[in-house]
Amino acid sequence: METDQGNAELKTKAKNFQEIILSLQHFWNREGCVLQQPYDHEVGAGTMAPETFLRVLGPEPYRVAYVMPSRRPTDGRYGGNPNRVQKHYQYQVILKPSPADVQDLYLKSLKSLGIDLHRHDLRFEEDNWESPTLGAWGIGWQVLLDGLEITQFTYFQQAGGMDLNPVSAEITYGLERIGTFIARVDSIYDLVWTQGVTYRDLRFQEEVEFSRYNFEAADVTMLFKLFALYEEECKRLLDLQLVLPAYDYCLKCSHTFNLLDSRGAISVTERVGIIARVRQLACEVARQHLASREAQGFPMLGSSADNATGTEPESPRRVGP
Amino acid sequence: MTSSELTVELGTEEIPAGLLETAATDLARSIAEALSRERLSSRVTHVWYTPRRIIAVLTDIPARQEDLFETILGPPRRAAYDDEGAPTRAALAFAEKNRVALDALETIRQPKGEYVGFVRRVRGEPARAILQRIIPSAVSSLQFPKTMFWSPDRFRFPRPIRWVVALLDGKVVPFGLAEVSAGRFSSGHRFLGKRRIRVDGAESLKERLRENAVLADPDERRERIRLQLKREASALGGQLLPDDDLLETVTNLNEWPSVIGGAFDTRFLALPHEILVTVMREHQKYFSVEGEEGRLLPAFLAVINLQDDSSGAIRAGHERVLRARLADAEFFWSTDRQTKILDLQDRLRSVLFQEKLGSYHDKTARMLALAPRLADMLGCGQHTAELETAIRLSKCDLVTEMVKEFTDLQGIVGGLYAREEGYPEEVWRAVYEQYQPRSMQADSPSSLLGGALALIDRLDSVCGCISVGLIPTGSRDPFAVRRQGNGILKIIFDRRLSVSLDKLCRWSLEAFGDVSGDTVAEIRRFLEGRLRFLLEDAGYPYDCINAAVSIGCDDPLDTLERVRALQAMRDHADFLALASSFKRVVNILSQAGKVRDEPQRALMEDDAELSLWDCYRDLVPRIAAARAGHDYESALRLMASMRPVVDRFFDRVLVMAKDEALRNNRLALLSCLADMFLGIADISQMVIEANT
Repeated sequence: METDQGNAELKTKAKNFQEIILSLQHFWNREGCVLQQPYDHEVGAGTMAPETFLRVLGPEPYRVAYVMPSRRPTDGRYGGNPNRVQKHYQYQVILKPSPADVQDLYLKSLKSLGIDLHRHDLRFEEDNWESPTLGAWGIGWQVLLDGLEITQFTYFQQAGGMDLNPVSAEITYGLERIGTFIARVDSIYDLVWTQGVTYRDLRFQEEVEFSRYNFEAADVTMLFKLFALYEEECKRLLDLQLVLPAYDYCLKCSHTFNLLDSRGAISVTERVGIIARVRQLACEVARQHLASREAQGFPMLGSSADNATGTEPESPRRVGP
Repeated sequence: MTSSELTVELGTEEIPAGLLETAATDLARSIAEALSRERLSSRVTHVWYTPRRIIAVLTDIPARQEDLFETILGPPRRAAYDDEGAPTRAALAFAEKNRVALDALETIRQPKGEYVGFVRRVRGEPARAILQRIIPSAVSSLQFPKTMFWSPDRFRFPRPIRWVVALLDGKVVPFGLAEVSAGRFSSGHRFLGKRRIRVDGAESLKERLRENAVLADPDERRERIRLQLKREASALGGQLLPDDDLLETVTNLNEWPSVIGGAFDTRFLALPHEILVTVMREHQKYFSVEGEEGRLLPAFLAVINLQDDSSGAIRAGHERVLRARLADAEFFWSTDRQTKILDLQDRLRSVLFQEKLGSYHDKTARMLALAPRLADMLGCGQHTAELETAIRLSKCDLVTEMVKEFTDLQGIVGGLYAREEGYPEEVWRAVYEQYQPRSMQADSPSSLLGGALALIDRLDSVCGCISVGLIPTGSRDPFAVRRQGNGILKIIFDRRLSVSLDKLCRWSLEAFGDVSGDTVAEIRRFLEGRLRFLLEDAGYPYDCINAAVSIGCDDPLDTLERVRALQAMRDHADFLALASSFKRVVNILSQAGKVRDEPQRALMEDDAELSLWDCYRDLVPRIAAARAGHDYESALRLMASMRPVVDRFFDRVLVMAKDEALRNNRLALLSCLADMFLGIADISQMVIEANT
């Protein structure tokens, strides 16, 4: 009986990298998510895309899922490390408000990838997420599958320095991790992206070149100048109440900071100060965005009365002149 | 049935392992306390927990409260009846307000006089109704270091509550909590159990959970893991490297724990075993396995939350993850060593120690300035040069890749790199041991220079933090100044260092350019507080601590020895008698004011007086010798031997004689005695119980 099952599993074709994405898209489509496209800006994580950072604010219910290429310049290893890359892919899901069965939904999504949870050890281990640059934090877990961290699961508590009500659940799948787990390979470069094409074919050169850029070639003087320009532009746009464009510049500041960091150009003391500057921008963006949604009467509240949580939304803070 | 059993289960999403035990214990206690406020007794019989549930079982709860008799006082009797004895308006109003008949009013005597009033019987409420009220508030009253919101009602808990079982003698106690209604349905293991399990009470809950792959009792899980670890370790041909903290963690991470073994490539055995063990423990929560002569085997033991791993897929997965982790460690080990560890010194300039206290480079410089001054006191005056080398090396590992990845290995990594580079053992070992003791239960540095380095480092941190106002208050102690203070004293005790706290503080502060007497006093006060805390924590009685500390505690080791001696002598009848006589001595002297003359033998007229003087003169050199050898117990024993002589003195001699010369001479004699005692402790502070 057990051998039969074993054979059955072996016979099931393991999903390749893009099939994993497709399965998740199908799954979350069925759960009523907006399937968004990746945001067209460098970000460190899916959380920073406006579809998460701005949508979790205020009372409007929302469900969204999207792939987000995430850049962490300091994680680059010139293509030489089997697990670390300066750009990886996250699959980001936001469920607002968080449903009572959110953990079960997540587990079902793993089953839809063909992962048999009776034969693999899955656990939720304490790991609280915090982003000082976004003034955001949440409570949750890292999800381990046979000892491998495959997902970050977070109940958002604050974003832009503001308490969140309702609370959103954020599920961030590490796509490369899940890929190596399913394919049982040691290196992400050995992942099959699609038939006849590997992760190495598509990404290796990029890792080599960007590692050189991030660690060696990025022009520090220029980056410092850019940071200052982006910061100024963000503030100017905030004064004009052009909140979404302002947030783009806040993201540019954040990525520029990450590049300076990977060039080793930022001392520990400076670091705290620069993070505080980006946070100030992010918090102001969040406040103004919430105010503008409120001024519009929170348009997405009405359309989804069925989804409403049954309580009065907390009255949002008033900001601005 | 006269008394009842209450079973409460809070079903949750995975609660952090470190919070579970306290959460469950607090829940049980909080319900018991709430019951007792409601005049209901109870007894906590079980506290069970797993990552997904907290269970409290209380028994011997009466079915209902006793009726309560309340006296309701009305107006004074004089005002309640007129001269004819007819009720006044006041009496009528009181009766009406309380809805009692006029003839039900009685006269009630109070200290202030007679009043009218009546005794009202308040029917006791059933326990069930009370529990319905108090359980939700008992749950909300639990305290946690960090909590979250998840539902619209903004309830707070460490993780969401998804079901609640509340049964009093098998019947549901109905209440709502965080949008969940209490009921009788629990839930089994996430993957191996049923979703919905009907239960009737505590035993039924435990048994139904077991059938559904949940061991609710942590002791049972711990034992199961312990047994399987042992079994799997010997299956791998070795022995378990015991790790109680890790055992506790995995006990609280699994509902149905099983142990599986795995292997790693022998090439990784080239890494120091401290690194291997840490990689496995910190990142993967694996246990290590030792072979002969304590050498590590290329193997690990992992605890999984399933019955077994019959296909071997889980083992293969863990091995893959560990391989990547060890490959990282191997990479750090080889790249870090491409730079000489001492060459990293300069990079410490950009690693902040504390905003106002500068970088780790600054810290190292201060420690270097302090070292030669302290070396003699710390017993390493002959090795100042080695101590200085160890200090220069000590913080360099903070910028290594290895420590950035495995912060728990700070110090150890620096020591290992220094060893690889061929530094002498006393130097690398000092670096290796500098963060010891890592807890109050752990060992202090085993080496002389390790102890010195560990002490100098902490002294710099404590003096620095307090001098810039980072004085720990209540639960706020972000720089763990208290722990560092405890560490200083523990090193002093364990390494038996005879030091002067005053000098330590003064010299250390000079390195900060702060020589204000206020700061020294502040730090002295702080360290004295830590000293008392440690002594109390070690179980020494208060009065011994007070008696020893009150004459001074500049030398903590000496203080400890005096406290020990006092404790040893505490039950000695002669000593206690002497202590109570000493109280008399102290009282007499304090009433008499200052007398500083030498006693004159010629002025001693009573035999009792003479024998006390002779006895004193005989003992002085012997006690001094015992003190000099820190043998305080012998010194106290010698003092205790004076008891008959002292008793006789007080029986026969009137100290406050009319004759001024005699009186002063007797006071001078007592003053000699007092000084002798006060060289060890103010034994008048000893608490003397009965039969003295």
